[in-house]
Amino acid sequence: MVIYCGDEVSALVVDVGGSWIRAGYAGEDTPKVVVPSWVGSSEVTEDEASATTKTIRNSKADSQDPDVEMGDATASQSGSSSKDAAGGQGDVRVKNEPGTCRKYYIGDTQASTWRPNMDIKTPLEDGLVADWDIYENIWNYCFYNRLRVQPEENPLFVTEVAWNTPSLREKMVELAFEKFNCPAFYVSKDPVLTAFASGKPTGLVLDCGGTTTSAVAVFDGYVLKKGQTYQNIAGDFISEQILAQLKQDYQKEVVPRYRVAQKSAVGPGEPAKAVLRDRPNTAPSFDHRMQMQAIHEYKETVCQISETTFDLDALKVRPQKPYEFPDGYNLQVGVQRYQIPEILFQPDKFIVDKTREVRLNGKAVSLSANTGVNGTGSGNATAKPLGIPRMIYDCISACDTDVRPHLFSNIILTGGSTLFPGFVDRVNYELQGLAPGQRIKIQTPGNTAERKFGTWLGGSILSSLGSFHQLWISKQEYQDSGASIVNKKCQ
Amino acid sequence: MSSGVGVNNACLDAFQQLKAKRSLRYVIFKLSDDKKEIIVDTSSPAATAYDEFVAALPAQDCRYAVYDFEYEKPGEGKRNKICFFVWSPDDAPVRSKMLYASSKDAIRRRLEGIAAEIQATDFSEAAYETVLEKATRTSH
Repeated sequence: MVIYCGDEVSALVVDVGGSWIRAGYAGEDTPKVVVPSWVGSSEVTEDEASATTKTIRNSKADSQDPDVEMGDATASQSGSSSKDAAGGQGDVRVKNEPGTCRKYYIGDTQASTWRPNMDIKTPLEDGLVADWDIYENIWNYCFYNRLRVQPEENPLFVTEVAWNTPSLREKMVELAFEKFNCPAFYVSKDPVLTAFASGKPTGLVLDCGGTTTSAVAVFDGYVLKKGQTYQNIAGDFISEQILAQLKQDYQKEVVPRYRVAQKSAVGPGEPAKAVLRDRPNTAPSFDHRMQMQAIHEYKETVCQISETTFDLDALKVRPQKPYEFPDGYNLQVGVQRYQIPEILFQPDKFIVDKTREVRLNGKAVSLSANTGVNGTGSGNATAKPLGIPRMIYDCISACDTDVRPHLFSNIILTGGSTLFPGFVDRVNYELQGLAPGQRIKIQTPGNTAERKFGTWLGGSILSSLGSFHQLWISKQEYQDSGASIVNKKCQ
Repeated sequence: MSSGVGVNNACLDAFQQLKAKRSLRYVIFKLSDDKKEIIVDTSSPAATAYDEFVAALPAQDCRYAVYDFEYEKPGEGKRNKICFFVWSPDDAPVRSKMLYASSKDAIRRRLEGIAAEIQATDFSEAAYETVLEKATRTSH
């Protein structure tokens, strides 16, 4: 139902997540724009950039500014993030050299088209915006190239992770008002929107997505800071481990699709007979992202989670599943398809590639120190990665005693990685063991669209309400009180 | 965070009748059609059984409700507890779930003297026994 009020203009809702960006108009059921958060970027000269870039910029006084600022941003990045070797020329570039700037390729086809020396990056790190240059370009792309709207005419509603910092929020408000001239702005927390969208003002939201897994308690529409945990063991981490496992068990290097020119049929387990394309100067980050894409498919096709405690012998007798990689190499996947996703539940036991960094609440935790202990759970003072049921349990236990039963009976699972077959059953099973006697009820949005776009949809409904207009931060308010108003108005 | 939806005064009047005059057994609230405020949907006289209240909740839409719960405390006579319900069945449209969940705070804050709060998504969670257990657990 659409509600029209006299002064109502449809708001724009943008949800930049760890692996997907969703953007669209408030009041609609699905986002108009859904593109990966992995953005291609390459160094071009200024002339090239202005010749090829399709971005419509404000023709106002700041026509010169964006480029200058872009130069600044990239220069500071290359200083801090030690660029990989493929970006070679970039390193030689003198800081602030006016001749070059970054060009971004956003969108599924854009970012997965091979270009020499194109890096693949994401603006977020642990859900927090780390690269504002890319972030701004994403908004730009959503508004001008895809939705084809003028942001200065529409209020903007964005979502953020629960652990976003006040300074990052202020920066976001500044971006909205100063750069995009939005008339009004609001930022809301993902778990709150997810909880609302499943009809619950109170509940525990477990979001297991592409880059982060988080457990956050929501009470009466407010996030309880206590006990919220997030770690980077999520979809992408699982894919990395699958990559390592294939290398270890089958000596198989996954060849991404863009490198395969032609493939021919081979028997299971035989080396692939594929004709490969010559792709010189490929940035390692691009190749890696493409490998990950191939693994995502593998993961979605064959991987599964044991519904009860992981039992190697019981799982060995389950049917194998065939899978063919882009280069024609194929195999029958047996118990391995259970082993790797099991990392989500027992990170200390199943990680293959132990060199990967595991971060818990933004801090690296050591894996190697814990492997000898044969992690039995509680009582260990040093931080270590947690299994998902443990994250839920710890988060709830950190909250007030009165709230706990409410949270246990309103657990909401969301995010793409919760779609592994067996995931929900397993969480339920393990929680029964962790909290015996508690009434546990797990809720998952029924249809896939709701689980994929839950947060966006929540924002869409909320910001389309006639009564919501009193909550927006208006441009006037921003000008009167400055960026810090966001920490007062958007709680 | 809340949706900014308001509460119609009739809701508070009805609640007073239930709480102070004891003339009502339950009041069910809903969002007005223009989604701007919460209004009274139905209410019923004091002689209504619990089952009738549950039957009055729509199976495919959300509601708020207050119910004056009466029970016998063994050896200590009758007790009354006012329970607040957020009724949000799984089958309700997501739009409606979202609206009711985000506006709950608006009405809940205006009602004083609620002993227990029940967030129910299906009829088993609104069953007499479940609610009785919750109502009796609160000490006062």
